[in-house]
Amino acid sequence: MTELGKIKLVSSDSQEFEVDREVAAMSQTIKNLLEAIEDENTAIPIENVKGEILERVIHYCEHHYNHPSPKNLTENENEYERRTDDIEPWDQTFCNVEQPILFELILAANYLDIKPLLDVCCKTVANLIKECRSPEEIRKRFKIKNDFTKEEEEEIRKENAWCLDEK
Amino acid sequence: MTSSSFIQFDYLKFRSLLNFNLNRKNELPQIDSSSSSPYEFSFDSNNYFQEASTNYFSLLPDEILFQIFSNLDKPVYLGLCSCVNRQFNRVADDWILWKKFLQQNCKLLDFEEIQVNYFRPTQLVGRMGLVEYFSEEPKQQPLLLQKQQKIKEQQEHSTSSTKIKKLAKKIRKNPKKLFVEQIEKVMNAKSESFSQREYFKKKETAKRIQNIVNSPLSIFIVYSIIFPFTILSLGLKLDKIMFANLPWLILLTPFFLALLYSIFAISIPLLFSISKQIFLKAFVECLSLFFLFILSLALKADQILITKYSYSTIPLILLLAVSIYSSLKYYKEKYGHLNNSNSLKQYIIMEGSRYFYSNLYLAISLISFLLYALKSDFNLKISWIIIFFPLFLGEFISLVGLFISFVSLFVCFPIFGGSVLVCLIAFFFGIPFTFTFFLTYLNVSKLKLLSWRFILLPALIPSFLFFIFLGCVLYRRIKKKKYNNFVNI
Repeated sequence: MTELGKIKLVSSDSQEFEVDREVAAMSQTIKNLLEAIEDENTAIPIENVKGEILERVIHYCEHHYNHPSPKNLTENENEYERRTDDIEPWDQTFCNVEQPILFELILAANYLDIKPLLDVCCKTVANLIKECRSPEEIRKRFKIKNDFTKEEEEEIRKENAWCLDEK
Repeated sequence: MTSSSFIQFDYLKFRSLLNFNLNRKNELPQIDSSSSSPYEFSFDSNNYFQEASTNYFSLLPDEILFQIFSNLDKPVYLGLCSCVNRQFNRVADDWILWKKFLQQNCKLLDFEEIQVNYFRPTQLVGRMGLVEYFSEEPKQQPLLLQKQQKIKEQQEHSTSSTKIKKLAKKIRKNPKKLFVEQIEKVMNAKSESFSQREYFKKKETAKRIQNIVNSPLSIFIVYSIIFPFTILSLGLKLDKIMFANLPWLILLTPFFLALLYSIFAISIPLLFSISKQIFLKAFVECLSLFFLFILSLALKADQILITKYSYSTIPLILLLAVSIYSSLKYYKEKYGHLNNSNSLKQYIIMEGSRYFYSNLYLAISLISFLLYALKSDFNLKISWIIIFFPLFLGEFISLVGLFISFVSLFVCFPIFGGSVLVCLIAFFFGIPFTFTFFLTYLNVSKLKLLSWRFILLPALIPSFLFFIFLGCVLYRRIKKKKYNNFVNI
C-alpha cells in the first residue's frame, strides 16, 4: 500500500520508487497514465528507464517542484533567443555527469516527456559541442565514428571550409 | 615495439569489435518506422549503455539531436557538426535550423529562392560569407540594419564626392556593414550595376587567392626558400667567406619579406571573410613584435641606433606578455560562463596545453636571449652552458613530447593525444634544431669545433626534406597523369 497522495514507479530493473503524485505528474507520460488508471495503488512500470536514472529524474522533479523556476524556459523562450548560458546552477551540477548518464537522462526525459529536463540536458550537450573546435574534436569527445566516404568527406569539408577556418 | 605485438593488438581489437557488434544485434532499439512519435521505440537500456561505449548520439532519435542543435547559437557550430558524421550532417543541414540565423540577420534574403538555388544551407553560408555577419550579437542586428539603411539613404541623397568618401570610410571601418550593402546590391541586381554574378565571381576568386596564399604548401615554399637562404648567408658572413661587408639589415631582409608575406596572407581574409579583430590580434601578437625583435637585432649588429642587445629583448618580453594576456582573455571568453572548477578543468583539457606550450617556448627563448644580452652588454661572467640551458631544456621537453606522442600513436593511448602531425613537426624541426643549438653552444664556448656554415646546416634539414617531399609528390602526379592519358588513349 502506498501513502495517500503518493504513487509507486517501477524501473526497468524492478527498483521501486515512491513519489508524490504531483511530482510525478511533471512527467506528461505519467500524468496521462495516472488519468487512465483507476486504482491509485497500482505500481506504474517505467520500462525504458533504469533505476539509477529514474532516481535522478525523480530527484530533478522533486527539486523543481519544491523550487519552481521564475520563468518557464520552454514556453516563453523565443526561437531566436535560445541561449545555453542560462542554465541554473543547480541544473548545471545536476547535468555535470558522465556522458552515458547524460544521454540516458535525455532518453528518459524524452520518454517521460519532461520538457524542462530534456531542455536542460540538450543545452548541456550543446555546450559540450560548443567547446569543440573542430569536427575531429567532436568525434573524439563523443567517440563518434566518421562514417563518411573519402569523397563525401572531401566534399563536405570543401562546403564547410568557412567554419573550419573560423574556429 | 615488435611487429608481432602490432599484429596481436590489431587482432584483439578486431575480435572485440566483432563481439561487440554481434552482441549489439539483439539489443539495438526497435524503432517503428511507421510511427513519428518519439515514444514508440523501446529497448532494454540495462546493458545497452554499458555495451555501447562508443557513440551515444547514435542512440538518440533525430528529433532530439535536432533539439540539441537548435541550442547552438552560432552557425559555425552547426557547420562543424555537419562535418562530423552522416547522422550529424543529416540533422545539422536542416533549413529550419539555419533559417532562424538567416532570417534574423539578413531580412533582405528571399529564402525560397535561395532554397531553390543552393539546396544546402552550409553551401549558402560558405559562398556568401555570411559567417562574418553572424558573429554579431543577435539583439544588435536590427540596429545595425537600421544604421546601414540610414547610411544608404544618405548615400543616395548626397551628391558631393566628399560625402561619399566619408561614408565609404565609415563602411570600411565596419566590413559587416559593407557586406550587408553588398548583399542588398546582389539582391537588387536589376537596378544596380553590381550584378549577382559579378559579386559571386569576385567572392570566388578572393576565396581562391586566400586558399592559395594560406595553403600549407605555399607557406612551406615561401619559408623553405627564405629560411635556408638567410641561414646560409649568416653562416658565410660569420665565417667571413662572403658578405663580410654586407650590413646585417640586408642579410635579414628575407626574414622581413617572409613577415610581409604573412601580413599579406592575413590581410586577404580580412577583406573577405575573417573579422578585423582577428587580423589585428594576429598582427599585434605575432608579426609586429617579432618584426621589431629581428629589426632591433639587425640594427644592433650594424651599430645603428640601438647600442645594446638588452633593448632587443623588449619586443620579446612584450610578445610573451601579449601571449599570456590573450590566452587568459580567451579562457575568460570561452570558459568564463562555466563555474570556476569546471571552467579551469575544461580549459586545461581543451586549450590549456596549446597555450601553455606556446608561452613556455616563448619564455624559454626569452630567458636564453636575455642572458646572452646581459653577457654581451655588461661582460657578465655567465658561462655559455647557463645561457644555452633553457634552450636545451625546451628541446628536451620537445623530444620527450615527440617520444610520448610517438609511443601513444602506436599503443593507442589517447590520453597523451598522439598525433601524426605532432610527430612530424617534432621530427622535422625539433631534432635539427636541437643539433644546431648544441653545435652553436660548442662553437660559442671555448671548444670551437666547426665553422659557422657547417653548424647552421642542421637548421636547413627541414627545408631540404620538404623539397625532397615536394619533388616526390610532383613526380607521382606527373606519373599518374601520364598513366591516365595512356588509359584514355
